[in-house]
Amino acid sequence: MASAGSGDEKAAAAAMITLISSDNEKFEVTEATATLSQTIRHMIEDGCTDGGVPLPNVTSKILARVIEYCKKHATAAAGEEGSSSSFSDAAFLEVDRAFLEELEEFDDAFLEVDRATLFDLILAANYLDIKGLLNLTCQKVADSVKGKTPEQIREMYNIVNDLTPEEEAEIRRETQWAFE
Amino acid sequence: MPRAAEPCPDGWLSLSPPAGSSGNRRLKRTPSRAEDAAGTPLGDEILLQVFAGYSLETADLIRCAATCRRWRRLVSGDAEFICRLMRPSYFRHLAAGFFHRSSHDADAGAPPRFFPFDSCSFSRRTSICANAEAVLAGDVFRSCRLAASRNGRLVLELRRRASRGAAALRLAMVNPITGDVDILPALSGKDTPGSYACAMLAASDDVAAAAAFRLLIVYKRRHFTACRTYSFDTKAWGAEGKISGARIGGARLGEMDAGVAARGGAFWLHGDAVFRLRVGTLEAAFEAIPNRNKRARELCRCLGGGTAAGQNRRLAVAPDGRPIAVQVGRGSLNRFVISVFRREDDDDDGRLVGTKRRWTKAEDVDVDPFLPRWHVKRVCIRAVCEKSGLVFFATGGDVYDQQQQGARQEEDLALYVLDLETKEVREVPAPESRCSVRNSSWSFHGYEMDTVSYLSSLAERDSLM
Repeated sequence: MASAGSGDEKAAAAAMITLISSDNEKFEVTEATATLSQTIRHMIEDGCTDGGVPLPNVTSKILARVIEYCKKHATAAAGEEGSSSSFSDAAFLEVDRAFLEELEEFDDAFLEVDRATLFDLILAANYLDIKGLLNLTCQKVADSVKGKTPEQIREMYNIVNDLTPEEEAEIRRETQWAFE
Repeated sequence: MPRAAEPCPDGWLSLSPPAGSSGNRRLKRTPSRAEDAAGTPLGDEILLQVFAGYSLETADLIRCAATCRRWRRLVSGDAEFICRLMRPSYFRHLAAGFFHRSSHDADAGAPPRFFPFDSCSFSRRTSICANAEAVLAGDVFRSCRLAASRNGRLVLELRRRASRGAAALRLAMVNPITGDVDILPALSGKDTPGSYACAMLAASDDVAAAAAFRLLIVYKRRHFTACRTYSFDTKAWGAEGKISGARIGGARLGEMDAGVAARGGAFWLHGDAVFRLRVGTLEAAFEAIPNRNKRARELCRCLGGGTAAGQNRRLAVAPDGRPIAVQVGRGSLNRFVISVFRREDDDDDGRLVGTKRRWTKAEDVDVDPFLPRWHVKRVCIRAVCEKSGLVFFATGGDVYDQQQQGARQEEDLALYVLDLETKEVREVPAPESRCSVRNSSWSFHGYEMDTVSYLSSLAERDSLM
């Protein structure tokens, strides 16, 4: 599949796919953008994207953000392919580096969302199987937990402490070093 | 599989899953429960990904486990999955203490005893004590020899009794945390090895593709060096393999401490040489640990005698997966240092890249400031706990003396632990001890838990009863 000629790829890039959110909003995207999602890629391969792809688990608000991410990273992927074939060219490398920096800035800005949106993005990335987005968002959650006390984590994630006082005391006693 | 004879107060631990038992499992699907409705909408699998894949440290995981039941269940129940993806680093809280047997214990046929660290607040410590005591007190373990301690497990050689011809080799593996005991099928008759060296291979060692725990032994046949692997998965010894590339004699094998496994190979130390065996191809080679400065090398008689001139060094594996050699030497002003030599990696063809030496010095840790000013004439390495990054060493008031092999060495003055990460040294209470000669019944082995057992033990006790 991957070894298909570049002619096919160009044709694929031009093809448009319609994604339909849970609240029935339609989004037109290029196939290159849509196939960052493994789930959609498989649907395209199976030829069942005519008439649009319904995504009953994703709201229009979240889908818009996901598509924003995919568009940016789809051009990045295309850029990488271009540069790898002529990597000896210093100018290309320079462009490449600048582009990667820009992509990083984009990712940072992209993650400036409230917690509920972050969770929705994770769920969408998981459902659509978009590895890069899932990594990005999970890393954000992991970073937010790093070095925090259980109280802080509970507050941040709205977690109800259902451990008995004895159980909690026991964990703290046995792994006291982790709480110092 | 026999367990500890006496039920220990923390018997629930015996239900924690043994490492490597579930091989290629990716993620365990645990149904969400009603109590999880509050909090994050993230499913178990995503939370596990977050716990495992994004450079959280063990302390972070423990604090996560202390937030609520669900998170505790995830961290403890899927510890094996989490640990596999975690970025490796030294984790000193795994170290629980050490096993020791004095000559007096040995004369009486008493088993090795466990000495826990006093600073270890972990309640599992008491269950390790209870389990180890209960298991080792069994008749089977009378006059046994502790051959290896690694990854939370002990390998014991049961007493070899010769009825006709060579004595059969009977080995056992004990997990003191769970109290599980595996008695391996005896190697007897024409399968009986003479002197041998062993190495425990864990799934996490990156040695060949096997998922389960294995025990590798190397021994001598008339015309070649042989090896054989026991799989704790299939509960059987594999066929005898023929080692190519290098040969090693029975006497030297008998003098070697248990080996370490890393980077697709098993490594044993003998004097200034390392015997390396590629587990996949059974190719072997000798490698030299540089030792040009005689003065910088302080031998102790531990593991010496016979053809070995004695050594004051142990092999271990660093968190980055490279084998290291930890040894005692002398730094400037004749101060005692503990040096770490690192093994340089191979390229794909098994050749050295970029450097001429296979083993190069990585660091010297000056331990002199931590020792009493007078009296200390020798520093002897006793054990290295590689997952926790701790080095046990003893001091003595007598000088290293290799000339008088028969003479009894004086007792150690004190026992210390060096933390390779923080470079701190502290004294730990120790039983009467002295340098031991390999194959005698004196023994000293550091004991550290494996991370999976550590995290698993955070589980809800009632649910495991």
